[in-house]
Amino acid sequence: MNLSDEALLENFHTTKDLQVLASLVSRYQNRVHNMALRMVGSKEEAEEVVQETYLRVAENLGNVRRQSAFSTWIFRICQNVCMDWLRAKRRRQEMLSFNPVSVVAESDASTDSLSQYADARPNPEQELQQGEQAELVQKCLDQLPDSQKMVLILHDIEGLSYNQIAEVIDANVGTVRSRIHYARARLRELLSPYYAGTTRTAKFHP
Amino acid sequence: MNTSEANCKKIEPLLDAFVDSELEPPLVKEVESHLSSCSACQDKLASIQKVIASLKALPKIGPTRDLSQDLEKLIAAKKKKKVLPLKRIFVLSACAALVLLMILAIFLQTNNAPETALNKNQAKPNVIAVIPSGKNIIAESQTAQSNLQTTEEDQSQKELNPRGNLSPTIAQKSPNQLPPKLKPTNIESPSDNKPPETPNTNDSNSSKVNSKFALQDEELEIATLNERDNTANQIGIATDEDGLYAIKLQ
Repeated sequence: MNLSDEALLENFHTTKDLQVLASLVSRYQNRVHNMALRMVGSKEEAEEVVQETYLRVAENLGNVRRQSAFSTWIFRICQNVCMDWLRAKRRRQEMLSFNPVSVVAESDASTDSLSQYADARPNPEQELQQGEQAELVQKCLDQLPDSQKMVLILHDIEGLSYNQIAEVIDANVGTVRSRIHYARARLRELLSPYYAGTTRTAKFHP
Repeated sequence: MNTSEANCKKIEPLLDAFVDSELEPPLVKEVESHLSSCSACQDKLASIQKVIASLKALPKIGPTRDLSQDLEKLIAAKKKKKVLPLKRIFVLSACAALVLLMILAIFLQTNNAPETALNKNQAKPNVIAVIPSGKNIIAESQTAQSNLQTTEEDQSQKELNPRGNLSPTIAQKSPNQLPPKLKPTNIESPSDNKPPETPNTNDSNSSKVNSKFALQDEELEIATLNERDNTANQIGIATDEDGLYAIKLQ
């Protein structure tokens, strides 16, 4: 019998059986992992983020708000862990770099190299068609601010609604709408070299 | 700026929500009507759709193994991690508190004793002299000779104050045992400024006065040094050649 999330939660509250909790969180494992992977960039880090998410879920299970679904709540915890992770990662990188100017230069260089990469290839459109699209999109996605990246992942990859995203990131719907708009506009700019010649083919059908 | 451009600026931010079907119905109609007549916004809409398609096309990648099965181990490991630092913090704070207490105790011990003795000497110069038991207790007050303004009854009340505040100063010692400088004199009434007289226990006046201060069967004899002996005042306790112990009153 396939119990609902709420039923499993109740079951866990009464029995305190960690296997019940494990079966509950495993329902969202792939989505949470995929979200973490898109945010932090590597599989190893993503798995650590998922583990930390599970731990926080176990620690804060008593604080689940009645009105919010468990799915929204676990995404909320995962986004908090991701943000903490990225902040810590950035701090580590800053500490490791002796010369802050070199970091800026490096990041500029990476942007430049991406453009050069795009320009050097005779046909970026073909590249996309040949299956490198995912890698390129991920690279462009990584250049967005974390908050914009998060809403795009939650909406366009995980399929959450604006209201659900607002709950996950603890903001209002207007903020979500605005972030999605600016994130897509920026991503459009970054991906435009690869879309050249294909944009105008799209048609609006009301 | 013509009307179409103004409309484009207004419509463009709504296109994302329009594509996502998250726009309010009145705005949806407005966007639709604009799009039907604006090719630039149609292109923008198409580019938004492309970006969305690119993101949706990203492969969904799950973990290499079932991480939910590690939950029990993770919780146990976290508990271990949490307990150790707490213990350390407790031990460290206890040590710190102990050291602080010791420092405080030493500080108080070294600083307070001389300070209080000095202050008390300044405030109350009275000293009790203790001599061997079995003697009559005779009261002498140097300050009473010069400064005493209260009645004899008041004096006796003060002397018998259970708190031990025997001011004005009282000297109690048998005449033959007192050193010359502590030779007892009769207590005078504050009203008459008679000069000090030679002690005479048979004298009716002096016996009357002395009887008020004499505590029969008491082993203590109290003498007022009253700033005669600065050393005694400063230290609080003094001994003279007759075995007189001077203790400063509280």
